[in-house]
Amino acid sequence: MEFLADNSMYVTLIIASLILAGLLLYLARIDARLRRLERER
Amino acid sequence: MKGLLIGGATVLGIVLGFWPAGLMKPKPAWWRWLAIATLAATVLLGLGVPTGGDFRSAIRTTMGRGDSAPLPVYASVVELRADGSAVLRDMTDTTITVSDAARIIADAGAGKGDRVILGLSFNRGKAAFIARRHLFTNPLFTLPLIPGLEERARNIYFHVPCAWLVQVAWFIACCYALLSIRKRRVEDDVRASAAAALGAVFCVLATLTGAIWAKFNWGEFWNWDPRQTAIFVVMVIYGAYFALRSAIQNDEQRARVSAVYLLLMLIPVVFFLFIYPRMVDGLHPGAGSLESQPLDSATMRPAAPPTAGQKDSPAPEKTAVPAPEKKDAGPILSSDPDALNPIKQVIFSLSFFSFSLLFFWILNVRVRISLLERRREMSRAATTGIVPGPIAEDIVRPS
Repeated sequence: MEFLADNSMYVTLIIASLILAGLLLYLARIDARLRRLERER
Repeated sequence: MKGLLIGGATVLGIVLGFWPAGLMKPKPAWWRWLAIATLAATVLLGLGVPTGGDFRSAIRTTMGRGDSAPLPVYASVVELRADGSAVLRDMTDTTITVSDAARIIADAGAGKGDRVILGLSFNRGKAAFIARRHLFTNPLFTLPLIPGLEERARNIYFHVPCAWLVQVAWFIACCYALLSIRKRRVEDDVRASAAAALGAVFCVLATLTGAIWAKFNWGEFWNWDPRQTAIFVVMVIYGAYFALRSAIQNDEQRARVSAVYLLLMLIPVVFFLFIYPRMVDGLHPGAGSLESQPLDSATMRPAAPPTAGQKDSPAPEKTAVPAPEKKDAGPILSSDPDALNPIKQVIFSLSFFSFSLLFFWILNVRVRISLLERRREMSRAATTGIVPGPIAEDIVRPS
């Protein structure tokens, strides 16, 4: 925690990667829905 | 100028979200490349433009931290001395002799007349700067060092657009809810619910990123700051929407009831995201209390103690922008042009634009998948003769 408080750049990196991870997770979910549709064909 | 830039980027992002191809057809290649390019530019500029403060902001920053971790200071080299120190002049024309700087500047291949960003520690006992490392020589652009925020100031390019899209998503969902009530098309219900689903994703992201930011600026992950309270309430409103939808089996009924819910909740959502955080005291910039709270120049904390409801969490260092004399609307909406430096304005506008395009891209894919699912369901119902749920006509129009 102290390291993060002194090196504030890493806090920003954590936040930016969290947004990326969240959107990728959502992408994976809608991708799974699409694959289910394609399998049913 | 600032309003035009940020407002224009926001509006353009939303316009390009609907045009060309709308939400139900694939976006053209140029559109997708524009989204990728602007997103990449947002990440590169948002994380890559170096921070370089002046001596004064560096001193103020060390006061908030109480240790000697190096801080980026942007200055031009006036003179290199034989004793290893160097005379540096920062952007406010403050000239200071910094020990150890000459060696570090020379090692980096820079010299007299160059503009450098050096990592400087401030020794409070001696009231002197000591150079620790070389960071940049002659950077094209620099971001200001904001005491209390430091590199966390960059979060504004990632956290704020997420929170903004929460509102945009609800508004778009409301537009399609209105259409769905008037025209009773399946497509409108699909678009409304997809927009709300994506809005919920951004709501969670804005809350989580805000909580991490809060930990390092306000001391706790969760402070019940008005904006934190508000986003929590909005998250519950979003959650109730999906609970409502999953509780209704019949397609047409679900479309109508959930559309009415979206429209009914528009005013609470706008109230909690835009009005409530400005009415009451809080930690976020632009909160109601800041207009009358001068900042103590030594600690960069509000001179008056914060509201009684707060625990022993640190005072809002996030507000450590130059003490607001007029009504403080926060750095984005403030009429003071210095509240957000021009480079930050450009990156901020870019981030709003690119996040909007990303939002609409995901929304577009999501709507197309949902429509495909609906069509598949209907064609299966037609071939097997099994209609999902009771027939809508009987329930909706009993006459």
